[in-house]
Amino acid sequence: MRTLNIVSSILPNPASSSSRAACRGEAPRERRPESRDKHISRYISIFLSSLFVFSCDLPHQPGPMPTEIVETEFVPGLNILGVLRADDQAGTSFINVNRALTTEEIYSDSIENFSPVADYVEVMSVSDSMTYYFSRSNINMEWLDYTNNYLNATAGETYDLEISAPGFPTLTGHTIIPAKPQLVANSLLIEADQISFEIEHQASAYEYKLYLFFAESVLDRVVKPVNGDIIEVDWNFSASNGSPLYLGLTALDENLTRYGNSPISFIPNTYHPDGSTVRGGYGCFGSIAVAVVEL
Amino acid sequence: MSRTMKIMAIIIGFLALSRPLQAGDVTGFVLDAQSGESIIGVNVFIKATGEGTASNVEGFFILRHRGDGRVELTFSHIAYEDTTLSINLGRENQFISSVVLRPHAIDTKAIEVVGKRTTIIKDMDISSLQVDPVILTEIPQLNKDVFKLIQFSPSVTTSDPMSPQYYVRGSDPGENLVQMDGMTIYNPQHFMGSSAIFNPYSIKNVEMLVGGFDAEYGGRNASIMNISTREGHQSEIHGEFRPSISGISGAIEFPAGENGTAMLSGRTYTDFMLRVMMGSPNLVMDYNAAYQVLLGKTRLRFSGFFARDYMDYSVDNLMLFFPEGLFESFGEGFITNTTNRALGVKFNSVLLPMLTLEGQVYHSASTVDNLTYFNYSITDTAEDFTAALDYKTHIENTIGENTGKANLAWYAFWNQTVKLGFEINDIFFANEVGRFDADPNPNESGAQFQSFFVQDKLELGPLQVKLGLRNSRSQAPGSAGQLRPGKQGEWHMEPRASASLRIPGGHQFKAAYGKYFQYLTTMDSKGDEFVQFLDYYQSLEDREPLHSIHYIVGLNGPLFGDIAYEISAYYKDLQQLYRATYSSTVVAGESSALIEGGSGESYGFEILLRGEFGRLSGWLGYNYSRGFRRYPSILDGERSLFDADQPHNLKSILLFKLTPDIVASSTLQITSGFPRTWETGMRMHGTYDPLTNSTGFFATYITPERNNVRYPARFAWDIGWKKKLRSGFGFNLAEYLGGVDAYMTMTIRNLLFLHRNPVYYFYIPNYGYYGFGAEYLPSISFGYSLQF
Repeated sequence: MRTLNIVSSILPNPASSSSRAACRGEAPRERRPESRDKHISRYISIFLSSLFVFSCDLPHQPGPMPTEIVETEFVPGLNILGVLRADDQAGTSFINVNRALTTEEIYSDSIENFSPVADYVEVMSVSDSMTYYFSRSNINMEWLDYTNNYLNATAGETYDLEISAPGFPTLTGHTIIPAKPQLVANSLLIEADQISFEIEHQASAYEYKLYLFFAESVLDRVVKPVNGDIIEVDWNFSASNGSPLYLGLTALDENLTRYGNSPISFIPNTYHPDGSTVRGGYGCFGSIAVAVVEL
Repeated sequence: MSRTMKIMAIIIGFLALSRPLQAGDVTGFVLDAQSGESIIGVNVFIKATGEGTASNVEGFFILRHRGDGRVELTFSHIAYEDTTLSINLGRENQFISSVVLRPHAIDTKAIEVVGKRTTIIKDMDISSLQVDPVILTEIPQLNKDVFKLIQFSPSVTTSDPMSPQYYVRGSDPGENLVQMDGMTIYNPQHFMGSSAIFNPYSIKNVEMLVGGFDAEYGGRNASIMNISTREGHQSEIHGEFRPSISGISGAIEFPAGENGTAMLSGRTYTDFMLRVMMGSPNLVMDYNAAYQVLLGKTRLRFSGFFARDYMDYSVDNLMLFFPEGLFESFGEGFITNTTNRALGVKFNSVLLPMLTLEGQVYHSASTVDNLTYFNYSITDTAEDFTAALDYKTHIENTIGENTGKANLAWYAFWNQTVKLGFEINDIFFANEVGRFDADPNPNESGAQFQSFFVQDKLELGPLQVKLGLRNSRSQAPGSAGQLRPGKQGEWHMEPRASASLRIPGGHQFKAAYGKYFQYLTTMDSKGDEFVQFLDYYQSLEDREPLHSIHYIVGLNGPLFGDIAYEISAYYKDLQQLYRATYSSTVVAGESSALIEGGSGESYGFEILLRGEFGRLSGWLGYNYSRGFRRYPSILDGERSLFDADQPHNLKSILLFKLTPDIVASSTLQITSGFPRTWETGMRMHGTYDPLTNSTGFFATYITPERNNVRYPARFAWDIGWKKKLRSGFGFNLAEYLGGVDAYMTMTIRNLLFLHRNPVYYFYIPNYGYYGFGAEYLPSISFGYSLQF
């Protein structure tokens, strides 16, 4: 083996030209005549000018439109948000019924039959087969909810929903009302600027919305179950609120949790999976269980 | 020991004990006479015969035995003066520790550099793009951003003009690997894709392998981008200083001790308009440091890197422009906090003239915390109706890596190059999505990726063949030596093969085959976040690794004059893919990404013309490519277009030397439109408040199918102009500050401003759908840079 260090002995060789050509054993190339540059410039100018002219879209024009790849039709259907509320009171559950719209409809000056008059809106308790019919006190007020004054939804019970309206597929739904949220015994600790407690998590609850009531304000937060049966909550608040008076716990069922967390497609031309939890239509039929703890 | 490993050990032993049948090869390093930096791509050839080789990314070359006797060995590079060395070739191997070349005056050669150095293709690499960073400085409209540059490669497509994510030959963005000095960088883009996180001054070389990469490379299936940084000047202090109204960028390289060099670079930017007008604090910074020392025949290099992006943006300050009381509540904005860091040491040692050893140990990590929100509430008392929206996304993602790797290269008999190597990565993942009011509770996991490879390259006259085998697997940490139950704990073989045949006339035919495995994936948040500009890494845990098989053929050679051509065609069988989306995750109620398995395929062909024609230089490329996916949740598992399917792409970068001091440049892209989802209608989505037992509604789109339309073709044309200053204020300022050169640049973007490249289509009542573009007017910008 020989090692050479030739820092000072190399002489530059200005005679060589194109390295790549030399590597292939080809002769160096000569400079091109000026007229060729003019031709090249002319062709490029013509190409780019054509591109500029023929690609025009003036601002008042709608612009180039997309082309269809997969034929996709609008599927009409009822659209609902129904909540069964297990709060030891009758008449607090509701179902809002309207319909899905084409894009042209929703931007029109008046939408016909936006909230179709349903033939029936019935909620049936699976355990005892009791059926509750929901109605709207004023059918002409489209945003008015369907309600039932007698249903006192029971935590832990299962209910089925069925809605029929002329011209629409029958919409069905199913919900399991979560168990009433409870604190772990002796877990509640209140300090000047913090409240700590533990929630006994039940599998029927998928999310908890918590409310801390003060004399003149309400704070809220959301907690999600983690592995295990206990959810620890440490909640800081400003001492200027005073002492908390009540702690409100609401447990949301799977449907309401998924629907409430589903991505909202308000960015156009963007795919989002639908967060609907019903069949034969759109929307959600869910439930919550409410508990209030006096502090 | 597995059967495969035993066979490999026997082969290696046989080769090791074999006596060389032919000796007399020449190896060595080629260095810059002024700075001492190694020079990449130097042609080393025997003047009489023209046969030769080229120096690699370390500046190392090996010239195989070419007979006996005294020969003139020429070292040639477009940016340097040709140099000739007279040596005696014999049966002994020779090692030349340093061959120094003196640089040309760069100004007069800039345009030639772009045409000839821009796409240096190594002899065996069938699909690679190697770029001299001088192109980043000569084309101001690239904004010195390496990721803007690679978008002009015919192998690269995008799916969102505002997102920096790129797709290589039909693969997903999460299958691209970016490394700086051998260290993986997980999120190599600054906020909103404004630029790469690498200071352009510090970049010495950019090499991108887009397919057919050999057994030495692994961990990602689509592309490998290797960014090499400068080593530092051995005898003088050099650098660059670029002030602007929004920040400062600087770099300095200098000798550091005996046989040592160092380089420091940094950039810090803030948008003052956002701070003042919107009350939004924001910061973008990146810092890079490197120290290299030569210890005998070993080069030791220490590298460090840190980048941070922070912005807290909200429109609260704009509310004063709205009528008071219009909204009951309103909030819109985002908070993003991203850090990137890497620290490592690398050595490169010539053990014997025919035996080199490389090794590296490094740590790299990326942490991301992105929160976006948009909420409002308006009550129409007449209709007793409340319009309310409460939209939020929150993605927290951390990936960290500790890696050790090494490879041994033996330049053996029969013109063989045998390589052996291994790599071990300890990876840590932590991610959480959809957390708003709760305390952090990320899903943490870890894995150890292990791989080793063996590869042999043979030269048989005009035919070169490279055969390699990479073996890889993923294990849970702490269980070394024990296979984790499940599919990832098994070893996966990745055979790689490529061949190159020189054809009379200077043409070369190439073919490659490879099987690739990848043990992590990324989450897709397009459409959930307004723009996805980061990758969110997810562990595949106990799932089958991503894997695909690639077939590539190609032909390249001279076309006429100084114009060369390259044609390549590829087919990828994407046998196992994964899709993790934010949308699906929140619907499922998971705290970490929900991963869905699928498959796909992609194919296409590419044509590239490059070179020099008079005063014009650059490249023109066209590619036809298609990509498809199959996922159970999309079109019920039927074949669908993937997000970046752009069948036709025409791309060009051209430079024109107006005068010796002025270079004009043009960048042009004409591409097919992106596949997009066209909504069929809208429905009212309710927000329920348990406290008041009340609801609010807002309209949301109905999107039953994904990628059911194709946007129209896109046109983008920018021009730039760079002038070396020889008089005037800028020149005088440079002289006063002790600078060597000063440059002015001007860029005109969006020349085709009368053509709309729609980003979204909105429905306007009584008008119909209207395509909204991102840019409606051309923009002009100026720049000044000082070199010392």
